[in-house]
Amino acid sequence: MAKVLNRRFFLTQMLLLALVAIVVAMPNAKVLSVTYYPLLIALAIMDIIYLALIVAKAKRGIESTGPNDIIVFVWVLIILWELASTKLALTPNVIVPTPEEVFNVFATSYDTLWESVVSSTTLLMVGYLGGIFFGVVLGIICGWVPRLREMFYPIANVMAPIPPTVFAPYLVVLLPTFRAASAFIILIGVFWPQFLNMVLRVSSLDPKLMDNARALCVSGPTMVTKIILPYVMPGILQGLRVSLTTAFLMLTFAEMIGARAGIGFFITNANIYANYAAVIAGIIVCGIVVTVLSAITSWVQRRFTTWR
Amino acid sequence: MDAIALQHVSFTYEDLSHAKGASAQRALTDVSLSVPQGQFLCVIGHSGGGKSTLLRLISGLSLPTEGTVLIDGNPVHGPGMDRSIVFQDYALFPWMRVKRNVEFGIEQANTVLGRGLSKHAIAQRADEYLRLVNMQDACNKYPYQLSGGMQQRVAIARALAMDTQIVLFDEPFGALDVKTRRSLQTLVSSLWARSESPKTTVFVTHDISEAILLADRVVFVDAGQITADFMVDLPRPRTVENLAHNAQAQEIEKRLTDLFYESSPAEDEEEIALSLDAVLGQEVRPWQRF
Repeated sequence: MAKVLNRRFFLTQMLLLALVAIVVAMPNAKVLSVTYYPLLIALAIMDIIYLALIVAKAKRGIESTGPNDIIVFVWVLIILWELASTKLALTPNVIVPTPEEVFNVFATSYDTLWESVVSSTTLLMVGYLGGIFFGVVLGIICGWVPRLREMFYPIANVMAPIPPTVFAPYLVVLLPTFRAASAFIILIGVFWPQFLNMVLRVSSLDPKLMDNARALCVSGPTMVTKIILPYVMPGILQGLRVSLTTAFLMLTFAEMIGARAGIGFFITNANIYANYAAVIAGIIVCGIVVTVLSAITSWVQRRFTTWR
Repeated sequence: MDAIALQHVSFTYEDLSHAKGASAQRALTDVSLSVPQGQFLCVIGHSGGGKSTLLRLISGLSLPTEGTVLIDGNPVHGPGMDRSIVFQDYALFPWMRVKRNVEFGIEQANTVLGRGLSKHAIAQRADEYLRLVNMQDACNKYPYQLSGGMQQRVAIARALAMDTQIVLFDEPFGALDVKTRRSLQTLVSSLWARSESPKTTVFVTHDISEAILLADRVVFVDAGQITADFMVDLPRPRTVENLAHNAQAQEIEKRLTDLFYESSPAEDEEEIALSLDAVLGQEVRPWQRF
C-alpha cells in the first residue's frame, strides 16, 4: 500500500480536487441549462477506475507510471476544457459544448445510449465472430488441401485488399435488412485477413511436426483437434485484436450510412441536429465499448496462449 | 524371424528445390539389412549419406522407391504402432505439457492397438516413465520451458512408454552439448539394458563414440549404401572411462574414424563448387578449362 501512496498519487488527487473546486465554486461565464452533477459522477467513476488500476498494479508488484500520467493528462484536459468553455466562455457556444452538457447526455439519454450499445455490440459480435469462424474453418481447409490452396490463395489476395466499405451501398440494397448488410460488411472485413493468415499458417506447418504426428499414427479428427488447431491457435489469437479494430471500423461506418440504431447512428443523428454534446458523448461511449471489448480480447489471448 | 528386414531397398526423392538442376536424387541404392530381435543397431555416416533416409524407411514415414521393408515379416505401408521414434527437433508437441506429451503417445498406441487402458492407467504409466528419465518434476511444464537435453529425456520417456517392439532414434542428441549428450547416452544405454528382453533399437548418429558406447552392431552408410557392417562385442555396462582403456574399443573407433575419412563426404568441395557454379556461371573452376 505504501508504494501506492506516493507523491504522484497525491498530485493526481490534488488535481482532481482543483477540478471539482473549479466546477463547483467558480462562477460560470456561460448560462447553463444543465446541472454539474453528471460531470461530478463521471469524474468520480474515472477516479475509482484509476485507483483500482494502481492498487491492482501494486498488488502484482508492477511499478508503472502509466496510470498516473494518463489520469494527470485527463484531469488537465478537462480543467482546460472547463475553463475555456463554462468558466471563461472563450469557445463558441454551439460547436464546443461544455463538459457539463456532454456528461449530462449520459444522464438524460442513458436509455437510448444503452440501446445503441446493445444494438451495436450484437451486430459487431455477429460479424466479428462469424468472420473469424469462417476465416479459420475455410482457412484451415484451404491451407491443408494443396489444390484448394492454389486456387483460393490468389483469389483471396485479390479480394482481401478491397475495402468492404465499397460493397456497403450495394449490400444494403441487396440484403433483406439493414442489419444483415452491416453484419455482412463486418464479416467480410474480418474474414479475409483471418483466412489468409490461416492458409499461410497451416501450409507452413513444420514437416518435422507432421512427421512426429504421423509417427504416432495421428489421423482424422485427432489430427484436427490435437495437432492442427493447437498449432494455428496462436495465429488466431494474434489476429483477434486487429480484427476487432477492423470490425469496429466497419460497424461505425455501416451504421453511419443507413442504420436506425446503434452508436454510429446515435452520433450521426446527433450531428444532424447539431447536438454536439451528444456527438462527443457518443464518441466517449465508442471508446468505452472498444476498450471493454479489447480488454476481453486480451484476456482471451492471455488465457489461451500458453505454449510460447 | 528378423525384427527389421530391408530387401534391396532403393530410395529416390524428387528434388523440389530445383537448385542444383538435378530432378531426382538417389538417397539409397539397393540396401539390404536385417536386424534380429533385441539388437541395438547404430547407423553411422556422413550427413547426407542416407542414414536418416534409412531410418525414415524403417519408420514408414517414407516408402521405398524399390524393394521392401519388413517389420516382423510384414511389409511396411506407413508408420505403425510397432515402432516409436525419438526425433532430433520437434520431438515433442510444443502446445502440450510434458506429461500430456507422454500421455498422448501412450493414448495413440492404446487406441491403435486396442490395448484398453483406462485414463488413470495412462496417466500412471506416463508418471512411471517420466520418473524413469528423471523428469517427474517437470510434468506440468511446456517443452519451451525445458532445455534441449530435458526435452529429449521426455521424448525418450514417450517413445518407451508407448511400449513398441522397436524404438528408432534419429540423431536425437545431435543438437546437444557434450556433457548433456553423455548423460543421455548413459540413460539410453541403461534403459535398454534394463529389461530382460531388450527392444530392437535403430539409432542414427554421426558421433563415433556414441555408436561404440551404445551399439551391439554398427553399420556405416555412405553415398546411399552400407559400406561396413560389424559387431561391437564389448561388455556392458559401458562407460566413457572404461572404453578409453579398452583395446578393442579403440580398434573399433579407429576403424570407424578411417571409414569417415576414406569415404567421400557427401556435401563437401564438390557440392560447394557446384553451388558456386550456379551463382557465378562456369568460371569458378578455371583449372577445369584445360
